[in-house]
Amino acid sequence: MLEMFHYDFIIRALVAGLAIGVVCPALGVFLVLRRYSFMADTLAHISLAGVALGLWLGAASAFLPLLTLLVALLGALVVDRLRVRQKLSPEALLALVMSGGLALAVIFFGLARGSALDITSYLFGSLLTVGPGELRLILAVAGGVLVLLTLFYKEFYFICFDEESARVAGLPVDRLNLLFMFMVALTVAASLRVVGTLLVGALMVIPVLSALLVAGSFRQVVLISVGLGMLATLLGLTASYQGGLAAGGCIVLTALFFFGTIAGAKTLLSLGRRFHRRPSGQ
Amino acid sequence: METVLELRNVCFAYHTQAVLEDVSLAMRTGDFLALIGPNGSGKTTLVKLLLGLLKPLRGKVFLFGTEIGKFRDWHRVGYVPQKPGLENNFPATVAEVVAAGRFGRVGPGRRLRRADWQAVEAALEVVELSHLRHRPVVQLSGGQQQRVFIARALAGEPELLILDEPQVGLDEYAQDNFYRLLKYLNREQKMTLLMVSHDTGVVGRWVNRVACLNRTLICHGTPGEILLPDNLTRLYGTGVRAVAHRH
Repeated sequence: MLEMFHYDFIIRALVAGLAIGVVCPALGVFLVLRRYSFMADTLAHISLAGVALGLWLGAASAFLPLLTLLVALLGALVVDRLRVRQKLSPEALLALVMSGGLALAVIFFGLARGSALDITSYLFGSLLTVGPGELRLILAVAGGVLVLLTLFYKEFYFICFDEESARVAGLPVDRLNLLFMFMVALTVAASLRVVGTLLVGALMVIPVLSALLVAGSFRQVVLISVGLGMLATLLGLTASYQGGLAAGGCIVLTALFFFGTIAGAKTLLSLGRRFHRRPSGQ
Repeated sequence: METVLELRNVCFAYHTQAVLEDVSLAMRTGDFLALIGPNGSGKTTLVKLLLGLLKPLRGKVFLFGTEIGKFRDWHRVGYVPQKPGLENNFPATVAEVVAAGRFGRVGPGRRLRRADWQAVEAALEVVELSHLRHRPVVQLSGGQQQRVFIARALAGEPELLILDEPQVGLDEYAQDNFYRLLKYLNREQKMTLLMVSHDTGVVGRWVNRVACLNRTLICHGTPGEILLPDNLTRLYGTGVRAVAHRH
């Protein structure tokens, strides 16, 4: 199994996967607890529109990831403005913007018909074909997002828990919300080639849902989510290499397996406790 | 004594619906004021105006002598809302929740230092929850949760504490303990308190001032002056309610 690490493309895939496997769940904690679990999917569909726009405009492949990032940032700005101005519920807001992003993507892909680029690598991810340039971009985004997250961790936590009190405490809540949305947009756009448009949301949400089953504090939720995200990436990528399967799918299925195992173990434990508490003779 | 907060002829409306009309009220250092009124009387709106979360349509709001638009010393104000975040089973421990009370003082991008953690610990001691500091807040009783949110406000070492219907959902015993704590903060720690309440029966025993609000300020003064049957009828329309319950 270790011979897989002799290949450069595997090392690149592993580094890119681990970077995304850390950042996605770390951001996902705040999204899930604010009931914005579909934010990543929404921004992924907008990013896909960015990819399609790039194809239509004939952008050189080196600029395509940058264009995708820019469109994702624009999408995050739209989401934030709608959230602040229209006071829509999270579900309604995300459904609205997601449909818009997908509609644009379909139109741009239609206009760009005949392009040599394989759309499926953006829809389903293509981790094993990540090039050195893309890896640098992924590492720059992941590093930048992690630095910002560490710097403003306590503010994001406070806003996530009680936005109104965070405002009363004098924190610049609107600016921090916009910054957070930009961080999610950048991460999603950088993750497209790793797990794909359709699965990036899963990597942000599933490790967090698993962590919430066992964690006893907010800090533990963050640490366990990141740990599970990294482990799912590592094991998923190994399974993908061994079985010749799609990497994105393997990573997400591994994360789901963790969730199922933790949820199952928790149910068994609580059943066991209930059984032991029963008075004898019943 | 310093004027801690002041509303001068404040009006507010949601769209075309007037919620507050010409409200003027002032509190001085050491006051413990209960703001009472029926549902929809504008109590929570008034609190949001005082916290800068809403802007008055007309009139002015002052905190510690500064017009609220220019007020920056938010660490001087503590706020206890009605148990936020808990409906989502938010996975925070008591210490994590209370520590948030220091964030305004510390400022964005900076970490809590030893002095901040000492303030958190002191706040937990005041509300007698030090032994539960590592317990998830959602596992506590209603009364304990309310004390956690008071501790969060106290951790910021405020001079003015604003509480929005803090006694909702507490049983009689927990309410009694809760009011004792507020009285201690007012008397021993010289804190100024404004508490929104719909509980006219009990507040009179604990506060030293009462203000009655129903879109406009109907009356304010000491509990002995204000909590009289005539005033309460003007405020709550007891006669109207009696008719409504006749059948």
